[in-house]
Amino acid sequence: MPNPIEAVNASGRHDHLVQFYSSPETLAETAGHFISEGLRKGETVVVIATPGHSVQFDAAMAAAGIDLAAVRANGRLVEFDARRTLDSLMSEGQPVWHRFQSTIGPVLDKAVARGGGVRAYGEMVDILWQAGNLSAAIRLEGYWNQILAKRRVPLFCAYRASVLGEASNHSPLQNILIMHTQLIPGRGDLEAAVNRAIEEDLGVERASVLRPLIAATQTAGAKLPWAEAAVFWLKNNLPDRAERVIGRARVILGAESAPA
Amino acid sequence: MNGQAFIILLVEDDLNDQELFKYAVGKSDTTARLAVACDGEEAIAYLAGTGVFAERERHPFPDLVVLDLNLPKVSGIDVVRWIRAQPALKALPVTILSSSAETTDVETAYAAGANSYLVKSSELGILTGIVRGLCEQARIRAEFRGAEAP
Repeated sequence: MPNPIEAVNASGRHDHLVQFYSSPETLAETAGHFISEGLRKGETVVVIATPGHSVQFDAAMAAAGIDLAAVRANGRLVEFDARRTLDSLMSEGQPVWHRFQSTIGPVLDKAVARGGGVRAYGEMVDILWQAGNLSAAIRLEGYWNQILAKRRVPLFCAYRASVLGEASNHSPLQNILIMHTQLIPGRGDLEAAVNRAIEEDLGVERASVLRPLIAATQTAGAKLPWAEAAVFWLKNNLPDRAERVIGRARVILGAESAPA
Repeated sequence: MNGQAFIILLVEDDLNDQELFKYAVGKSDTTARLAVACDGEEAIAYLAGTGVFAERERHPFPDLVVLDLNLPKVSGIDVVRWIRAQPALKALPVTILSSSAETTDVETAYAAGANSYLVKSSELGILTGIVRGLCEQARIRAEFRGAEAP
């Protein structure tokens, strides 16, 4: 039962990670850990974030014992404002390859040339997603894949979205997953909630019969944690039951998140 | 689990794979009814209810289609595309069961409109587990269809 931090720790040098998060705290914890781990290992970390999230990442890094002034001074923490950077890449509602390549490429090349490893965190795609510009987000993810193909630089992307969201979000989320190698769980308690919801709605015996089928199902793009794989499978294969299971899972999570 | 009858249409040209699947269904569920089409053209005729499949009582409409990719006459991908182009078949679940685990095949199948993609296993235990799940999926759908019927 991997939690978000364990999933980040288990990722590799070629991974293009994605996390769908519901709360800024979840993002700060997971992405903050991804960034802090890189710095702790002596890597150069490129962070392209909104100012609000940067403040939260600073707190996470400080809590992890990172000397922020030192890593900024020696160039191991390289930061960009996500919105300003995105604006510089866009034309007529879409990112432009040569602008992306000439902006991001030299930053990564310089970081790689330092040695010691590089990792990157980005949320320009989330700005596009929040604006409803999915096609631009997908195109930008494709540009990242092109630029990362020649460099051993893992990238962590974050989207404010939920796999337990409305059915209308289903296809867009699947389109995003195709562009990544691994989905980081949105929260550690999702698996237990989804398992319980499936058993309550379909019955324990049916749940146990469906489990090997869901586990054997190949997904397009990112490897999925169990809970997310089960939700996507239900939405794809038993959409009428999926809504009920998802509703139950939301209730379970809400009840367990409520103050005592 | 109750005894709701349901139908799976297996589209598979390899006789060994057909027999393995039939065996796994037999081990999994006694209420399952399995129809078999040997190529893509036959699968389309079955679903359209044309030619030798015109009589719906003998060739009932399936609750689930399990489809190989590499088929004679019409490929599995083209069968999926044909299914998704038929307004009456838009909700029919299609699971690909292929020997290929290639990323491009998986992505192409989903892009064409497949609901799910499985890689064939020669291990009977694994195959039986998967087929039990497919039978359960088809039964749940049949129950829903039954509940919807006037």
